[in-house]
Amino acid sequence: MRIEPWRFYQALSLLAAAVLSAWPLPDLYAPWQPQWILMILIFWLVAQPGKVGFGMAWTAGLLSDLVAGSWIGIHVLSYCLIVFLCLRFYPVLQLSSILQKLFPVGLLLVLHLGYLQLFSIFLSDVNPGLPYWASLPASLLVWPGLHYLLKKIPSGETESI
Amino acid sequence: MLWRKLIISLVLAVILVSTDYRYAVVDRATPLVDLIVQPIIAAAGLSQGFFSWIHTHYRGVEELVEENRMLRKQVLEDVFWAQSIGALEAENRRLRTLAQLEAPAHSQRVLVAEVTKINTSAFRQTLTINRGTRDGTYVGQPVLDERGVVGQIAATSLFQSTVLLITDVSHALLVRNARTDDRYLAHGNGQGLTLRYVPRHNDLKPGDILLSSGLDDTYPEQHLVGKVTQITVQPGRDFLEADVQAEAQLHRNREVLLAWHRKPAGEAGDAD
Repeated sequence: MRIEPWRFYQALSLLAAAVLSAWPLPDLYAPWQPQWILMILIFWLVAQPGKVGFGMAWTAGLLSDLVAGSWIGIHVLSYCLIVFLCLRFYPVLQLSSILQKLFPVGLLLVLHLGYLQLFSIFLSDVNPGLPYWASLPASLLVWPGLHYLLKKIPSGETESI
Repeated sequence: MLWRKLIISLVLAVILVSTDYRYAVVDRATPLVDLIVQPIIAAAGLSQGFFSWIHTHYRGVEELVEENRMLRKQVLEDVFWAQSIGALEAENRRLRTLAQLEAPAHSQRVLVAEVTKINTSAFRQTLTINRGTRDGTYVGQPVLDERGVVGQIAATSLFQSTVLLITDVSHALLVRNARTDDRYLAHGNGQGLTLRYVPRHNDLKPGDILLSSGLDDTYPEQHLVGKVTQITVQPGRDFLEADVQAEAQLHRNREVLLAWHRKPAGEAGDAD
């Protein structure tokens, strides 16, 4: 069995995202940390439709849980749901322009952040409050860069459709 | 097919979360977790260190001279206070011997540690510091700063340790009211600390200063923990709740102090 070369980039980008999310920010800007790992997950779901699935959701989820120090499995839950939505409604994510893609990506981010906030309130009795949502615009700002990369990566057979 | 995969995944993940939540299966101190997480944190810290190195190299001379002047002034002030503290300590010891009390147990040794990462997510409030078992740290070791109590070491590996802040939801410590000598249990609440189950007619006022009591065998006594900011009395309940603002600069510290307060359990000789 031969491993496709993009798998290598996939692993590398996931690691880079983990390092970036562990990047120390000054206290004031700490909520502005983008959801790097989630953005990378969505990126690969768009770049390699049909080839990226629950396996990556689990890997990315466990990695996020370890880096964030949350209860193990919390991010996995959210990422699995997101992967499901992306696979189920994948034509929406194949829209061509940046702005058109930004909308579903933003929706997924809202879902993820809202879900994490709910968990935080129920499990650890802490409401992170409004500043926590600064992560949403911060993550969306990352997207154009990823979109640019998207064109650089040959997306395999599905391209020709 | 997709549905089946989703449901299997969700069920597995829910089982994982609930077991970890209930039984803390994945202890953050496990070497395996350390092996995965520490390199990631180290890489982030290294790259940040690189940028701050560039920053210091391109700083203007005037800025450095100014900083130097400020630091000199600070040192002078500190020396002044340190001198008066020495005198006070001597006086205290004399009075204690007069009153035939045992001298308070002071921390035998302190070590400055650099903060490499601050984690203030809602789930967990921790610091990562650049001291590990190589420097003799141990789990449960008290961490302080120049203002007060910061937290305790929750996990330690060879070169790094994770400090659980006193404001973390899973943290609690025994404090003493400096004014009345009453003792309370201060729980972290994610933003500050909370005193729960305080009897309704307890003499507790906003502005009261809380010190570590030294009774929990973790923290040395007489260190500042925080100040009472607000007291809430809910009608119909037997207890009142008080919000406490931590005195230490929990999220703004670049350096913290590690104190060797007691000998680590099961190990001997390392602590002095």
